[in-house]
Amino acid sequence: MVTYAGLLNARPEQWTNAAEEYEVLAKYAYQAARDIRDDHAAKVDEHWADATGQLAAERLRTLADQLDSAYDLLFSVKMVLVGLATNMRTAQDTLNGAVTLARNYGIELDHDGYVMFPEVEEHKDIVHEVSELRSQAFKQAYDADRMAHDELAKLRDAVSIVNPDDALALQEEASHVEMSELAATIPTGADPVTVRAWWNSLSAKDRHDLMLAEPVALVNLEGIPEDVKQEMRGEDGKFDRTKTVAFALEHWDKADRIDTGNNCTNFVSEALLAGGMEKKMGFWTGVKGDDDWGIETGTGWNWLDQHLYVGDNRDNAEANQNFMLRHGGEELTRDQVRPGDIVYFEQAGPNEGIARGDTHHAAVVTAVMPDGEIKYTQHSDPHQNISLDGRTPHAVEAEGQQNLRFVRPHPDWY
Amino acid sequence: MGHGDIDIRADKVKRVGADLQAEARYAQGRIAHSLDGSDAVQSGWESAQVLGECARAWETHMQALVGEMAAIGTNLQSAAQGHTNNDVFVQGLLRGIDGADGLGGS
Repeated sequence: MVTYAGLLNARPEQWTNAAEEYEVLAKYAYQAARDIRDDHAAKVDEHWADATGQLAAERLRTLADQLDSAYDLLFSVKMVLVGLATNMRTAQDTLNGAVTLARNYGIELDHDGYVMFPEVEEHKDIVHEVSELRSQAFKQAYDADRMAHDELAKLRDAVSIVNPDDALALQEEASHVEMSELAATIPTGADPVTVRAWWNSLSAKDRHDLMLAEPVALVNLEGIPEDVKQEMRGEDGKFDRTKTVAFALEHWDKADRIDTGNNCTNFVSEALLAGGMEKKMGFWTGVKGDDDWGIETGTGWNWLDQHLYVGDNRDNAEANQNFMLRHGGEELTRDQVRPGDIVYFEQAGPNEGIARGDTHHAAVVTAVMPDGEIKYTQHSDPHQNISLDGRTPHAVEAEGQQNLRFVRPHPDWY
Repeated sequence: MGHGDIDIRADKVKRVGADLQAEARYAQGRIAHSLDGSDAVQSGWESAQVLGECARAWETHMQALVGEMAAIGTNLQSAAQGHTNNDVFVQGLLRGIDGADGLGGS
């Protein structure tokens, strides 16, 4: 149980250091798996072609699988620790904010940080704020500590997992735990005055981190400054990026209005429409033309709707990417990515079914973590807030090398 | 190819074994104490103790995997050396037969 003194004197940077160590070891496991599979096992295949040689190569590939699983699980520990460290840092800021506020008004706190004489204090509103901030700091720290404890215990016991699919499932769970640790930092349900005091208690870095990690929760919170909300929505005013993210997070496991089968890009288009991006319609072609984008209401007959109302720019990843870039979209470096941007997967390595240079998948960026790790949400197959760094090795293994392209749409047709 | 057939380039397989051993030796040094920061986190949080346990479990597991890498490397080298030794032995036998033929041939 976190104590008042424990939270005031917390050292979140120690947890961040531990997270970095796990990431370094995860990267080693990943590289070792690549070397063993692509180099050593391949050479054994080539130079020892008899049955015994095949057994040796198979043993090497099993070891590579084990190292791949280790990557997933070590990366999972890293994610849980980043979430906890960020939560700890913001909880500490919040508690310090309460202490400073109390000091400024001469309000005395006891050894646990409670206001000593709440009934006799003259500044009732300030006493309320101090109490609320204290309460928020402890609640978020307690919740995150519990979540981290339980997940770390699972990951401690996961060393026996050798199946990469099982390891990936646990990685997805850890990614969600990290998001929950960050969500716990937001004082949902608090009154606007407390929210404003909470926001003001955070450092500039913490505010920035939370804007990238939890934009939907923040934009819906009364008391957050309007200019902060506008920055998260998107400053060009063309569409509301937080609504795009909210749609993706709410609909990741729901059917599309028109079922187009492999519908990753259709899902991205739906999320952009939900954010308020306007359709681009041709006079004769509606939304079906080469330079159109959007969706019409549809007849409710799936086959008919697919043919009448779904154009390539809406449901084909390559066409969608090129359309967005042709119409004001900005290609971003990885460190510029924010929630509401689109990530496109362009084939860079050999694949029998996908030509090099073809963009074959698209997803919505739904969060960026304090350490720069990107979370995305997608259809086909459906996942919510999964880690780009965590899953890329699996994508490479399954489909060959990928070139990730990040695009921020800036529609120029309205 | 049937189970009885032998198809190996022993020098190349031996090289793979040596590379694996060298990489394993390097990795063993890197992995030892690679997660010591987990023991340095402040106590007073429920997660602190389990993080330390997690670090020990993962360091041990990673050392075991690297040990497996070294063992496979050793086995590859031994197998390749075995084939080389067999070849040398059989070549020796064949030279002996050739010699016998030369001495006793008509």
